[in-house]
Amino acid sequence: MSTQVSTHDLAQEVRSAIAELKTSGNVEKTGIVTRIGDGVAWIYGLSSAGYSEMLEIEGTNGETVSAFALNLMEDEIGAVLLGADTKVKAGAKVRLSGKVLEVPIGPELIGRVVDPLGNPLDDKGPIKTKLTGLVERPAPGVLARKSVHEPLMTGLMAIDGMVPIGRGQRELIIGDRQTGKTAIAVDTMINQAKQKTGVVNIYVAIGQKMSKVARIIERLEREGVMDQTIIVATSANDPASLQYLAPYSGAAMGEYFRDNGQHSLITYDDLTKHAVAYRQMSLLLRRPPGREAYPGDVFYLHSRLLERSAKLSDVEGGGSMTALPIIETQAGDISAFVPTNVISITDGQIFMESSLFNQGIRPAISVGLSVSRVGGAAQTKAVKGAAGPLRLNLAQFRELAAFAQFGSDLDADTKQKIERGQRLTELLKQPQYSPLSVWEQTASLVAATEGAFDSVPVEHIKKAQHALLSQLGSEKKKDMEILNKGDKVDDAMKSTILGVAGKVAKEYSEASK
Amino acid sequence: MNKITTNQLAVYAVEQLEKGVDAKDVALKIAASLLENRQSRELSKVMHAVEDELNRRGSSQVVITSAHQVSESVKKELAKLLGAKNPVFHERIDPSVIGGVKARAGESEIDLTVRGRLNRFKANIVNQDN
Repeated sequence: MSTQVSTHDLAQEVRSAIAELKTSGNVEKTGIVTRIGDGVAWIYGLSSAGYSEMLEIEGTNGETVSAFALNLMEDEIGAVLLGADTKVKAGAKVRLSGKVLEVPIGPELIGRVVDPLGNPLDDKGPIKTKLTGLVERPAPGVLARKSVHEPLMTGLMAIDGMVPIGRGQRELIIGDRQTGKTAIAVDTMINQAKQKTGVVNIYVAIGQKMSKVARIIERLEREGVMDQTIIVATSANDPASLQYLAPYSGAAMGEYFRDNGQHSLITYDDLTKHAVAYRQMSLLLRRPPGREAYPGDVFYLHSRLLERSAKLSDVEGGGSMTALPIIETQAGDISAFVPTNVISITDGQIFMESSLFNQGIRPAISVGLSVSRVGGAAQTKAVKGAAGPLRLNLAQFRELAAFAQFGSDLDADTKQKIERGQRLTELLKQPQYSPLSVWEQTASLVAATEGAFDSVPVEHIKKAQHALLSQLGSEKKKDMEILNKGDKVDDAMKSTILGVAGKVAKEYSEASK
Repeated sequence: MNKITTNQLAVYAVEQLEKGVDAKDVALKIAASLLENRQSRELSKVMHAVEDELNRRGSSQVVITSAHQVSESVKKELAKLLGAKNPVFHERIDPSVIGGVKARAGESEIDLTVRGRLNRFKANIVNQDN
């Protein structure tokens, strides 16, 4: 069956519809590129452009290259290109887009590797997100927030015990190159998957080596963490504009989860390179240089980014975004410009020391210089109780460590403090990619701080810890499940742990004789 | 000594032209000023600024680009669409636009060329691919 169709009538309809089309809507405001180079275009015209508004520049071959306006001057605009500057020539036409930069956000991004504009970098096809989020967005206000109170376990005993991190906190990881800064962030991400916390990880690589990013992705895949991870990757090869945008894009993606009552953990690796990329852009835009040639607003650059990490109030859904910014220092100098800025913005820092790293203490966390300003309120009660004496013991050990070489000439009390300190230092060593759960951390800490391992030789401490954990895991499974909930350790639980620890310690102290 | 802005130069040029000074003389003076103040790379900006200044003073410079000669009525229609008063037309024949016409007066532009449409089409397809 077919319906009668008159082609003439249809054609007539199209003709009359076209006749009614108004072409005046096609009039648009345009400007012209007067100079181009180093990723910056200088544009004449477009006097109505807004700050950080997206511009579209007509490239060669009819392609469009996006740029965003950063310098609005009396007679020209300085815009930073988001693509290659080789595609744009002087004299090219520039159009206003009427909007500021947005990136795709939503759960569809989980498991993907994207660039700062949300374009996929893996070979898993297009990302069909339903929403977009503003790259630059104001942080939640005072009333929308709640104080940090839930723990975000890193799985690293040294951190969870002494510098605990809470959900919504900003904890800086700072240290020289090759001291294991990224390793802490990666272990924390792995722990979220292992403990099934449901926290969505976002890893933002800023100007990193692509080989390093590939290695991290491969490791996360192997550990089964990619299923709850988004990677925003820029390499040292990318334009400074993309490196500058990366953390803001990552924050926009993390905010989706924060605003929907979920929890996210965002790692900025690293903000030193971010500041360097911004410095490059600013100098090319001829903004006046200040200290270390950074522009005047480098503090605001990081404060507005990190302020977006927050714990929201129950009215707002109670979601959170925790940030782990990373800063690389030169020769341990934490008083340089960018490190001091970020230290003052964040809620504490984990300081990595290369001398500790070289001594084989890994994670190479400096207990004296590391601090968590708000995490105490969020620390798991079980770990808090067990780790209470830890800081004090280690502090006393550090003061007395210099005397350790005198050996038997010391009084019994000093000797005991040194021996305890050596054992605790040994116990806090933890290999990469093996985060510990709450009960494993609590049991280890209880055994060590209560002195159950004092008779075990230092070189056997890790073996004794493993033996303790495997025995507790198999023989006292039920007790450990209760302990894993994180409630305060009661006396019965303590004696259970110490009972097993005593047996294990006996084995190892006898074995060494 | 303060830097002379391109806008100041443009206003000067237009005022001189209005006084009836020969265009060549004005161009020479502007060129000398740019060279003296090491602003020679701002020449193209000055040209645009002069155009803008003329537009502001009520004589719109309308640049029409098309593949073939355009009739007077089309030119007038384009000037009307762009809101140009007392238009002075500058025509450019450019076969690479393929067909249609585009016109610009100051910052306002209307692009009805086949090339422009193809470019927009291409940009849309590239965006969808992503």
